[in-house]
Amino acid sequence: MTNHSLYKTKLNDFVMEELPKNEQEEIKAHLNECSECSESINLLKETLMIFSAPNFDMPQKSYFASLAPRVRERAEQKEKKVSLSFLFDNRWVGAFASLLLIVSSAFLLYNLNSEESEIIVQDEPDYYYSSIQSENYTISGLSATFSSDDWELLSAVIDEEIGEYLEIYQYDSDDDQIENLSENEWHDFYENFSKENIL
Amino acid sequence: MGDDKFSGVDFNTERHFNRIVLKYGERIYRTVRGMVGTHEDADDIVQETFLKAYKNIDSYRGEADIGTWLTRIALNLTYSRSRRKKLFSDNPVEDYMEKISSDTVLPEVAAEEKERRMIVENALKTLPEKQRAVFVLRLYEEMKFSEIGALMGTTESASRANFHQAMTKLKKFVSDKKLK
Repeated sequence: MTNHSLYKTKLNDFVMEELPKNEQEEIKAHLNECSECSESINLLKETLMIFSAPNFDMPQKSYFASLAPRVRERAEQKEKKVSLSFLFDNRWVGAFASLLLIVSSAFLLYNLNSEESEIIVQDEPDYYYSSIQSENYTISGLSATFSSDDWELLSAVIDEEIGEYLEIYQYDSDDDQIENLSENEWHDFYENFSKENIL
Repeated sequence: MGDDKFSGVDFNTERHFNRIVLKYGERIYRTVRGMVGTHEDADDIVQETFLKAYKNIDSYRGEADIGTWLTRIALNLTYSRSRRKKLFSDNPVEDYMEKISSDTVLPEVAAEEKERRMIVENALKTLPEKQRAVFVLRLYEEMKFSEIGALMGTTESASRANFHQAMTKLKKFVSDKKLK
């Protein structure tokens, strides 16, 4: 590579004063002899002159002084929006919710229209362990929420006077009444729930 | 550049948050504004940058100074915005020549400066986003290439190469237009 070719590759660095001092001097001397490099340097300087200054005015100080409060306000607005926008803004969540709704509806219709639905877990061999998967399942005026395959995660509100299960809900370890049910009591619960009270 | 490590500063206290925004607001704005065309876009991205930093302060590990961390967030948001709004053109500089020559005639007042700004804005738009980012950080923020490389997750030489490519394109732009 000739000196000219070598210097030519370093003109950008030269004009930005990025080169070591001795190289800066070498190229500077070369420019006196080489019209091509000299023209190129002039063009680079011109380019830098045009582009080095921003093409905009900075906002006034008041803009930056008000920035933090505006960011905070924005954060608060976003927090408010999150709960509402969650279902509507996120297409995947929306799609999943729609899919869940369709599956749940189909399951509900299937169970309401089939004889098997009369006994929700009729074929369940391990009594209170069920494979039912549904949410907000409603039948015969009673509301049950199945959020897990395991019945042991479910519990019941029982109206003792009339002996009916008013509501089935998720197992709550703080609920002593349900927590203390023995296995036999759970069995009774299952039998009553599925065959008597619901139907 | 890189003057503090921001260790132990709590974004959750209003005083600290205000201090950080005041200290770095101008720098972040200048970088973002150099990347996008309008104040509105820049303002939006700047706010979003501090909001994101505010929410993700736990992920800030203090390896880079806070200004670098904020700039990285701002650039990522700018890239993301540019992909949605097409702030950067895919067209090469040459394709832009005809468009700029047909732009609206500028008013007489401060025509030179307005023309320069228009040229800068429109020419910078033709650069790929990384070249533009390096160009802005080097010229407007006077960052070293090693700092730019660290900020952008590349090397010093990659940043230098990006800058030179940008300069070459812009030089050609100036040369072709005979800009004075």
